Amino acid sequence: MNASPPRSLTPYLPLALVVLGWAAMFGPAYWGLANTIWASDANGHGPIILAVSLWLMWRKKDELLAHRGPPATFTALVLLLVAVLFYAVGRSQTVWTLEIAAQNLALVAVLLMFFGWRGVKVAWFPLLFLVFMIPWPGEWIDAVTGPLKAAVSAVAASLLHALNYPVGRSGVILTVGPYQLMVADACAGLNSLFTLEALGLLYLNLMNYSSALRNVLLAILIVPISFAANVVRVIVLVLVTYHFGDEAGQGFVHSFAGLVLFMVALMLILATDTGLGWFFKRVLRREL
Amino acid sequence: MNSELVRAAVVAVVMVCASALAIAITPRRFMADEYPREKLADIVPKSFGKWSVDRSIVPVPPSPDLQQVLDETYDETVAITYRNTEGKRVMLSLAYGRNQHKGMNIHRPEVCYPAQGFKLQQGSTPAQIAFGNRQIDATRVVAAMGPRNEPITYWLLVGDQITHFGYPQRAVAIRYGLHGTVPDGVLVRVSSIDVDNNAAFQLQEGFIRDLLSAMPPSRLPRLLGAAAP
Repeated sequence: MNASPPRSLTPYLPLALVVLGWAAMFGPAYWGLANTIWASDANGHGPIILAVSLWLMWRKKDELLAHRGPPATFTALVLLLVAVLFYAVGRSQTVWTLEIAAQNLALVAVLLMFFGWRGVKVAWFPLLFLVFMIPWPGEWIDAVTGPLKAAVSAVAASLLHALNYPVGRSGVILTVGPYQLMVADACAGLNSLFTLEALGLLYLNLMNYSSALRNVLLAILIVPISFAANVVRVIVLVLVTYHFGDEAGQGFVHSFAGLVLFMVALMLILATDTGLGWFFKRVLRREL
Repeated sequence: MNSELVRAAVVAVVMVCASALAIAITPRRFMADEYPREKLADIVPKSFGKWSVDRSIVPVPPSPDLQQVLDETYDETVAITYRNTEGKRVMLSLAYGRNQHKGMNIHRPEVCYPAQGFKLQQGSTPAQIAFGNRQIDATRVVAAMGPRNEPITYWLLVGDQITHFGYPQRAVAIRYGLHGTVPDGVLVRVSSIDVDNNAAFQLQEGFIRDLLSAMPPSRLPRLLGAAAP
């Protein structure tokens, strides 16, 4: 007969309420991120992670609804209150790490509240993926960026030296012929490491390998791959500067080198994965 | 179904309350507005004891991109080279940020020197500088690039408290923040170019004492915090 609109809308009411609450709590946080640290080197990957996590969650919606477990209301409430504490301190005192970590806790709490532990299990990958969105404390970034930069410069310099280029290095400053280049924070590769690690995990998730060992191995190998890609980027910039002058190295080619980095890294990831596949099949004789 | 609606309502209410709570406890008063904050350039004496400003040295202006970072980070920076009667030079650098919550990003020498190509020859070591009846909780580092060896003495003031970079700085800023005030902060850095680290640190300590002694006591809180006698 005539289906009444209220009846068809009712199932969506809980979802609408949660989305509304979420918007009230994290809307200002996203807005703040967009206007501050998402523009910085170390957190530029933030919006992509958020978008991909959303998409991954969306893909899980049928599975979530089908595998609903008993709600873990108490745990959910405790987690939600911890999230509120993190959020309130983080948001009011400008501690991004706490403010955004609250988002991850709140998401687990919501899943527990409506789908129970089974829901968390179903959505484990989007939850893990979202961890990449939590900005590192500045102290961590500083502690890792410096040594990483020095290492990238050192490897790039010794490779170029081996190719008989007139290269010198003092800390993060490279001299080649008459030119002097400073390896900037962005070249250290922390930002590209996060982005590549996230992309790599996404790739693994979509490939759906059943071997946990293969997944973990590739996820770990992305770290040296990202390092190597950054070395290639620095070398490209040094060579361009040496052969075509300072302006060439600083202009369009500088942005282009960023693209080279991702192409090199993605090719290396694919090659490594193929190699791992061969190794597992031929040497370990394991089914994938 | 009903219980689901109830749980959703609880979650939504808690989340809206979280948002309200964060807004309620966000500090809105700025220490920089509540206390007289004269320009640092105006309160630093130009000539005192055996020291006077060395105008023969024109500081190299930072590169445009570095200048942009400095402008975004600090509300005032001062860089002066002093020379004493024996011809020894000391560089004084002050950086003031009125909002220590804005990413809490006063740059620490241990990070900013290596970022410009320096190597840290000697990591941070604490140094107590006695001034009157108080101890300034300072830090010493040595940065070097090529033949240039640069011992550095610095301290960091957040609000009225001398603290250290990293978590202590954050803790101080958050403590102020939870009491409703956004603290401001000053980085006081003294350095000289000298291969003899110990001699340089002695020179810097003497310079710091002479400088502070030459300032009227009413202005000392600007560099040392209000606990100054």
